[in-house]
Amino acid sequence: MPRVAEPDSPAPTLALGEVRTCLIQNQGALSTPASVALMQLIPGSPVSKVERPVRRVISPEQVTGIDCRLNIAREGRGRAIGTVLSHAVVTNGRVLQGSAHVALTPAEAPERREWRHYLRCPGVVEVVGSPNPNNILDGFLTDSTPARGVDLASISDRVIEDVQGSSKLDHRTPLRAGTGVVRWAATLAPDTVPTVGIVKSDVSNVHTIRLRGRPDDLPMLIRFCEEFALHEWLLTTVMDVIVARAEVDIERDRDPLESLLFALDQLAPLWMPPTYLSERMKVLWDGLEDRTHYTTLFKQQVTRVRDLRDQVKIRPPRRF
Amino acid sequence: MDVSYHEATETAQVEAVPLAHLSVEAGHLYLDDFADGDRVITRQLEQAAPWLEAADKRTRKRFGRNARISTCLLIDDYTPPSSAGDPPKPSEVVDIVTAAAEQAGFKIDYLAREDGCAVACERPYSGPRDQSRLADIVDGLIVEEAAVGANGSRPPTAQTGWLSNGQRSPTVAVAMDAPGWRPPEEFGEFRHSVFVDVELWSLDESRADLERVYSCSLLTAVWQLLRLGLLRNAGRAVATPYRFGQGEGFPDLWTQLPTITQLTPNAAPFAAYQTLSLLPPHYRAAEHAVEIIIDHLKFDEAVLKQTADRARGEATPIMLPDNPARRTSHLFFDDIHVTHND
Repeated sequence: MPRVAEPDSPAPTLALGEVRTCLIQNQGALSTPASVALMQLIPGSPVSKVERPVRRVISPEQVTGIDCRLNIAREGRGRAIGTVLSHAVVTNGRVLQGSAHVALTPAEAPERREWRHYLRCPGVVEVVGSPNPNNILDGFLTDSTPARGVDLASISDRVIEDVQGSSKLDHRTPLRAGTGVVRWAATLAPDTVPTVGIVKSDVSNVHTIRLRGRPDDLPMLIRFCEEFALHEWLLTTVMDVIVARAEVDIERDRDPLESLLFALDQLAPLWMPPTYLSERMKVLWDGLEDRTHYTTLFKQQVTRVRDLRDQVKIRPPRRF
Repeated sequence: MDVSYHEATETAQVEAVPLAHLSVEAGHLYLDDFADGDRVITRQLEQAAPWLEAADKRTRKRFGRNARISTCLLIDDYTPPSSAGDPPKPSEVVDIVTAAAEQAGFKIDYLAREDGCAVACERPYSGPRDQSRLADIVDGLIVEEAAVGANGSRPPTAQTGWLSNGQRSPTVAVAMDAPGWRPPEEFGEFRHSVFVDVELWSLDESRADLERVYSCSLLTAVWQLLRLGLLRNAGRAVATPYRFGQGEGFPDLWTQLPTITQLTPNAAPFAAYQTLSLLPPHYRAAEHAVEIIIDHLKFDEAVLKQTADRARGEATPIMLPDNPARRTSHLFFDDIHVTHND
């Protein structure tokens, strides 16, 4: 879990992040050693690996220095100086995520300090000026492409690019699927009960999340956004890509069996809501389920995939 | 009911390294320096001796009579020797160094080689299994200074092989009086800058695979970080000193030697809370570059904490500064010679 601040430095009041999710460009799913080797983005820095309930291999945190103005909605100005953290995650050797995040604290000095000062708290930017926190959040969540403020889109995208460009992959894809984008912003204050508000954008595969929590909830909130991004991408890919295409394929007498089996063998086992992580995470995720019925939806889709598979097996398409 | 489940591989375990109070570098020599036998080393150790004595005295005064102090010597086998003849063998150098140190009145506990700072070798004749690419590891820990306006949209310019301590002048090719020239700037300094641009590596164009040639600055940074006990490879200690057993001969080639060879039995640990380097003046620039490199590293928090906790737990508790570069100290000799008239 990322460290967000030194014990003696002020606790962050805001955090911003972006998570991108896509399929690894490799014909087969990666083995554990292959996933670990792929996640070795920084030589000598430890790669984190967990086998159960799903295999999750996480790269070391990469550190990117920034010194730029914030994109602030409505009124106000602010300059952010410090570093952004980013890492890659491979789930079951199949799905790749690039996750970038940064916590904001007020600056103590009105001008830029020596670099070592900012490296003491990796993943924290100090904000010079005192813009309204809500304006910072709205400005970040609605920032355009290319970004006018802190560009976590480019940073998380670069993580994906770096990994997908690796010579350890065969760069073939078993399924054409899109990249999911989750942009999030969190307000951090002591004694806050975690809350989540998710908005599905009218741009496909894009979601924005507003969160609240205590400053020490930040690692949990980051993980929540990564898990949401993974599950949302799984649901979208099975529902809008695999099932939708299979239905068209059957109609046109093409064989969809390969992608249906891919969904059953490779994607369905990845559905593992993170309620096992902690009590606070469970509360948050259960709340999400109450609102969205994501797990029920996904199960329905998997059943639909099985039905389609059986249908294809009984009456194979003519063009086989 | 309380159930917990953890996997050991989730968070890497960080191996601890033994730490002395002070590590004294008694010299940094090229293989060429041994072309005349012991002339250069003798002079270097003679110059170092009084300062070493003073450091010893001060350390014991600060940390107690039982303060742990070790001495080391760095041999540069990375720079190819310029002299035509064969370079001296490790065993020959060890004999010369041991004799010269004895003559100067102290002992060299550890002999290190600079090529072993680029790729650490844990034992004699080590292969890829017990090697760590330390220069690459340190290079990977560098977080470049953000340019003013950098918002993350462009990749860091780390691929140039240069590291600076501030904002480069935007149009370096333009003369100072031309319009549009802006000075470089060192951040966090009062009024005037000391702007430094450090070359970390260059590419060896003569080789098809364009292998990196590491600069003395980067390799010296690795060396200082090893002496501060701050480097790990995926949590494992690296370049741990190797002591040759009785009857175990030294290899003939420098590349077959471990990165650090322990020469004296019962020596204090190689790495230390504090380092002192006693060097001729021409190393000053490289050592300044080392400080800049260390100032731009993202250290493993667990390693820093482990070191700080150990220091606090000493019989005489020590508070370490949070910037590791502040744990190094240097003494550069002058070039004044005394002429003896017979």
